[in-house]
Amino acid sequence: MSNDEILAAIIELADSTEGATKPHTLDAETPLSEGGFSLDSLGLIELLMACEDRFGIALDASELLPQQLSTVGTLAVLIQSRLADVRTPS
Amino acid sequence: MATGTAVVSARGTIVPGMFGGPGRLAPWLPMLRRLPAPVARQLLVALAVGDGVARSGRLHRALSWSEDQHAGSKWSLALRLLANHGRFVADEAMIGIPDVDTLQRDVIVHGAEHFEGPTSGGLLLGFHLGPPRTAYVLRALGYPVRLTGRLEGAREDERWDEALKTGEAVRLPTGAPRGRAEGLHRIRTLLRQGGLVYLAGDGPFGREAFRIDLPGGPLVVRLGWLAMRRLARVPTFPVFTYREGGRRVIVIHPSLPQPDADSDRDTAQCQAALTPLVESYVRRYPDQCRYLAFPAWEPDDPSSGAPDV
Repeated sequence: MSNDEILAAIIELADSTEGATKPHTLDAETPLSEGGFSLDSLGLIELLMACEDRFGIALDASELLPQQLSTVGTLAVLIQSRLADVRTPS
Repeated sequence: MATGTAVVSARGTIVPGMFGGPGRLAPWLPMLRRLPAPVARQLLVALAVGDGVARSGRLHRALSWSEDQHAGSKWSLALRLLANHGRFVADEAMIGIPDVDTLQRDVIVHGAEHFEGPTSGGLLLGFHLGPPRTAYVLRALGYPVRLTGRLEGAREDERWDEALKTGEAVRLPTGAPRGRAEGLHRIRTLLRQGGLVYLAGDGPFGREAFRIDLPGGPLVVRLGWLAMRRLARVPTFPVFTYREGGRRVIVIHPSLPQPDADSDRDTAQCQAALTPLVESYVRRYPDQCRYLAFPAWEPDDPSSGAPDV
């Protein structure tokens, strides 16, 4: 899956999360919370779960960092790395 | 009904000295901890009563709360409420509780069998009613309960590091939502792995789910635990704590109805189940409802900065 496809999917999922607002711009730099989709912490969790379902991955709670939930792009990087782990299991 | 016996060693790396009290108490804690424990506790009780009398606003609130309870003399109830405030501040700061062994004395637990079965794990739903630190007392007794909350003291006390790393405790910090989202994700993972996690159903955090109208004012129930129980699909056990005859009594109720995927229906069924439990508690122990009488936060005040969970 290309990075653009992941970004597009995250934007679609964030947009459909309860409580989300429409940001002025939609790209990798769009914040998931303040100044972007305005998701609160519950909204972010719902988005993470939706991403797990959509991409068929499990996000390890012990490795999740707050900064990975900053923007559409940082979340995409996290998902990309998990997809790579799935493709190349250790 | 079972009394509190250790079912599994869950003491871990958290010790009573890692807990501070309310922020206002911090400068006085070293001095209070040097005093003999009964003296320090009595001092806090006296200060709480004296403070209430000196600050007419608090006394007025205590009397107003007491008047609404129809539970005997309003002056007697108001003074007991103020005194309990002092006792619970001492409990919060673990004054006179130097170690885990001390903490587990004089505690009775009813209803632990609800989560001791083969399908152990679930959400323990507490409220800011009665003596504080219920989750930690359960841990001291050996129940493998994970602590959650702001844990402000953990920011500056590296003794918390190991507990946070292993998931014995999970921080839900104030500030940007992504910090709390990380904590909530951790809680969901622990729950789905069969963990037992204690979450507060009320408090300064988060979106309001519903209110339980009570004589002295409403108890505002938050949305976080409701979302978590649906996301993790785990049973939810309401927990209430009170002090009676010098003992701390912890009552764990049977599970609320199974989570309903429809959030509105789930909220409605939880509200219907919780309301009589809270009402019954307040009727029986109005003198232990310090946060209802003197809210430490103003849920409707946007300037209070209460963040969403």
